[in-house]
Amino acid sequence: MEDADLVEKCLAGDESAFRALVENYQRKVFGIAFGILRNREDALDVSQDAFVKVHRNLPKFQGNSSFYTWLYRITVNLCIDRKRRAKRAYNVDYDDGIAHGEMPHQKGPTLASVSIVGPAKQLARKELREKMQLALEKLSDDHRQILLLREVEGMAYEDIAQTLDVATGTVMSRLFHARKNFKQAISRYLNA
Amino acid sequence: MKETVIMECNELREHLHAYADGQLAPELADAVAVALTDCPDCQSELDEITTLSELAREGLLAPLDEVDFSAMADAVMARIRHEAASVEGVKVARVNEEPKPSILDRLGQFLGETLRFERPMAAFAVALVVLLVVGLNQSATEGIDDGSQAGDSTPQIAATPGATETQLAAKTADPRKSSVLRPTKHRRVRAPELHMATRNNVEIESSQSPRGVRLEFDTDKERARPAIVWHVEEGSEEAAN
Repeated sequence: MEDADLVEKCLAGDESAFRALVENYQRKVFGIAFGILRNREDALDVSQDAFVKVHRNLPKFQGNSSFYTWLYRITVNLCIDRKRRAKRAYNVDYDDGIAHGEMPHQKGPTLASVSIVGPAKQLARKELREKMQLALEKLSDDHRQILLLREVEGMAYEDIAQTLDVATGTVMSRLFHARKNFKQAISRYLNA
Repeated sequence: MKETVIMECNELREHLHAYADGQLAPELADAVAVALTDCPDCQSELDEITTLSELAREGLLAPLDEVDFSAMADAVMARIRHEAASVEGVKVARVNEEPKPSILDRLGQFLGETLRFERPMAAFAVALVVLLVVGLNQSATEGIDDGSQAGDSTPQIAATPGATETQLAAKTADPRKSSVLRPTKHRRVRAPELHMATRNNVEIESSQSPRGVRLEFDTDKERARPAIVWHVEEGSEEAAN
């Protein structure tokens, strides 16, 4: 059933329709929250908060954007609030490569040149995942978010732009720098 | 026959990410595919992008795979039901609340308690206010009594019928002997007995009475006009704002 139909049923008082929405999106919402908070328990809390907030505000949902876009923004805002409250220091902001000290004309090392592909294949999956986690920690929230939307959700550039409320060109640029930073981070861990 | 677009390496590299993501228009994607066959470095870079995407996906999915989501929907629905019950509980509590007494009832209760000295401080405050109001009223009355009240050291002028013009003039020389009369329907001034009220130098009322002077104004007409400075002096009258 389409999201719009489920939303309509929710508004008519159908509790099972909202449960269906939760089940459809719980992994995605957790992924978004974890991408920002980097803490499993916090991400689970925020995921629940997001669904409760969505349910509370469902009568205000205009349907101008997709349900997922609305849910995504609510989740991100809750994460930002939580981070602000906790005042945790996230010194990993390498937004679009500029803060990372990259020069626009510079090319990062290729995977072949830093011998990543080989070591990556040799690592056990569990170990590889741990290395990926460490590398992802080094990225900014924006870069993790755009990688999540593209690599995990498989969203088209235009859909990402709508979800993030940015231009399509920004999506392409941000994705380029996110991958570049991820490559640099992962190179360090795979070659350590 | 389909025309093949020739693409330089620099241009090709600009499109690699979009090509890897399947986000290029079909014609452009075909051109990139052709150009890649002539550029091993570009092909290597494309492989790198693909590998990075896979690794990122692996890393991003890892924490999701470790979480059991089976309980989340139940937890969310329980919180929603709890929230709805809380809201409903507040509504019920409000409905069951006894209505608050009206402000008049509360005022009556307050005054009753005050008069029975159950509120000594309030009783004292009320007494103070009453004294203040009485004092102000007395003071205002003195202002328009034209100095005729007891204890006024100024000689009583026109206290008796037939007071002379000289005496009247002498009295009005004292600034305390004039009053500002606000337009009201009736204005009663105690003694002296001989008075003349004028407005804009036109006599409007004069009377002699042992009870005092009664000045009558048309309230509706006078309300919008300036207050009138009223003198006991014959013919002396000013308009003041």
